[in-house]
Amino acid sequence: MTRGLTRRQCLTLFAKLAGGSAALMQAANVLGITSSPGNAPPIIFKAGSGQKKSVVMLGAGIASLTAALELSKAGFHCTILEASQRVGGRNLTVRSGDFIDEIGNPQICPFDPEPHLYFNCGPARIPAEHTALMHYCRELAIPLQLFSNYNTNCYTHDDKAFSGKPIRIREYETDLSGFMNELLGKNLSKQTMLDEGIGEVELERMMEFVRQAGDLNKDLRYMGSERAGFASGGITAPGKLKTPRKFEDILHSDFGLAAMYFMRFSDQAPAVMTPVGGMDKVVQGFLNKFDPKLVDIRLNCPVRAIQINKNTVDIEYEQQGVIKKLQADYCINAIPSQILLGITNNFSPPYLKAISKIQRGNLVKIGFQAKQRFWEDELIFAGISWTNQDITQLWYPEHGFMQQKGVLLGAYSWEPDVTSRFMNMTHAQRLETALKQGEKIHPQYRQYIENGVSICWRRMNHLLGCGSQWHPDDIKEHFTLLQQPEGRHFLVGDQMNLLPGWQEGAIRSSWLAMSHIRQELQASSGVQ
Amino acid sequence: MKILIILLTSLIFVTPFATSGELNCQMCHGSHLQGNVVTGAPALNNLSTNYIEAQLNAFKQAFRAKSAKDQAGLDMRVVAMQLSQQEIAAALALVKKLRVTNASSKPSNIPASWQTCVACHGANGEGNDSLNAPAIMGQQPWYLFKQLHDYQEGQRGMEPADEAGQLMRQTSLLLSAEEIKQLSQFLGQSNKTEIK
Repeated sequence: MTRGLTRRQCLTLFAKLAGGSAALMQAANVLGITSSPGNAPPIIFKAGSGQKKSVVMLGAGIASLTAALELSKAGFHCTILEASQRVGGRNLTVRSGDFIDEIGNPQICPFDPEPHLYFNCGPARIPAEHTALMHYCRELAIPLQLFSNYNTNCYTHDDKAFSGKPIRIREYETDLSGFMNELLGKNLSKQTMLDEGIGEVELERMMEFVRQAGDLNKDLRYMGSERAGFASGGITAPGKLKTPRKFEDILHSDFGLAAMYFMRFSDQAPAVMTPVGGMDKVVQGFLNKFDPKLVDIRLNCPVRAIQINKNTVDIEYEQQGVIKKLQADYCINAIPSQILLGITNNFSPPYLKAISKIQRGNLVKIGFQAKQRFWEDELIFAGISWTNQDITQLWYPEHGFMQQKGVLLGAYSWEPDVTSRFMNMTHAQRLETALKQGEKIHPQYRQYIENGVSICWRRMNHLLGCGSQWHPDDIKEHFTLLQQPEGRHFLVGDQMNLLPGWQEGAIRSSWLAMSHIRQELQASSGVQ
Repeated sequence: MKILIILLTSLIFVTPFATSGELNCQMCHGSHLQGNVVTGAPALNNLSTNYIEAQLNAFKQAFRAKSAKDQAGLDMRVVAMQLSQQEIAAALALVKKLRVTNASSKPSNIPASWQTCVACHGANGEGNDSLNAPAIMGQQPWYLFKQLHDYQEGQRGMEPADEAGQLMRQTSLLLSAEEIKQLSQFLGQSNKTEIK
């Protein structure tokens, strides 16, 4: 198997990770965890229906924050136990002085203290079709701005093509389309169309489609196109077309195998959004909305034991070296499976087995502070460059245009071999690797980079993973089992949906858990 | 502001866990140090503090976690590398506190190859500090399975300074694949985790 194919497969994997797979989306719909596009409603409880009832949430990520918001509105008393020193889970935006709690590579974010110098280490974008998260952005009044996944001024780089030199995505796409359509045009004939049951009138139209798609000349030849950008001129002097690249080079690059289509996935296609000022504005939005009388957040409180009783759940947790106990009517549990499996519990064997089926994921991101926004001199304002090297992507910031400094993403990797390589480096080695590989795209890269952060999610304290996955064979039996209550215990979070790595999935898993609670409340009030 | 950041940074490198404010053995090794197959972390609650201290040292010196194949070992190595003496003392105290003994439970289905183990690890697999032989009774079966293979393949027990490890490597070579499986299951029978 060639490396190219591996890459493509991994991109498909990533599409799943990042929620792009249509098949998975369909599965999600069948399983009832998504709603049709539009304004998604959260779980609504009857006013006051939670009074004198308590819920404990384990882990202070998006799933628990969602549950605490909705349940406290209904009068439930909510306690959130969080093992780490912060709220937000994998929703992590780092700024000057922030602590990055990676085992083996603890870091203090070295960025300058400026409002536009921040880095989204976890989720970074919000597609419009994530209606649950969009619902909260609306309700919590979180200002959004556009995020760019697709900017053809960015580069594509592949060691095996164009002598290892980067080329603009617009050139690659235009030349590829030109060559492909020229070939198609040459081979279109009355006969081939007839074989498809298409008549002569349509053949003529088809020829025109092909001509337009490839920007071919009258003879259906591709001679270069303005779409690739002019080599010179175009404004005060006539534009001069660029010479098309060699078709062999286009074909030797992996870009056209997968990465080029990344922005076609419905949840990555323009326009996607991001909160102004950093993704953690979502977390802040939840915190601002909480009624402190009803939502009690306890940090630095790792859970040591979970016991499910008939009508309650007992939690043992540790606070400053002291074991404490807490009993609640319901438990919404977002502890990552890889840690949860090490916590003493009385889950039933099938439930435990199902949890063990969740596959631990790893994602790695590197963020660099540049003393000068050199990419803007190259006409790049936001967007993503792609490379077949381990760093995979460079993201240019969608914020802080034309400021002096900027924070760009210097690596985002998801392929297991690649993330393992980064994971087993020191922080300094990771930055050096990212610099070295980035230089292939921007030769002057190193002289502009001042400092950086590296986030390896599999090593992040209290999380130990990111982007967990479900094997398709495990969905029907194990995933659906975990979607059901275990007594009054509900497993939620990024791991409990088929869109791992997206906040949308965490929110939806929380809504599903609350729908069970509501159902049970209705059933028990019917009895009274 | 800048001075504060520099100060904080230097603090972090002296005592890396200071900001998170806790020692975190239980996150990987389990809430009661019973081990966790997903993180690849063995049970520590049956081990002596002497043995654990020796192994922390073995990780630090890279006697263990010698290749990328041993990811859990590499994870442990970065932890061992950054532990301060104070933190090691705290970790050992935690192990003492959560220690369980399997002494009373008489194991059943004793495999024939068990005789290979008892001389060093004790009649009940309780371990022997004077020989640097850890307790093996009550360890996670998947962990014993992996370690025995690691010894056989030379991932462990290859360092001249690691005498106990070298002896264990020699012993491991006497065991067949089937015997390794039987022994792991036998010793781990108080653990419910299956060998995958």
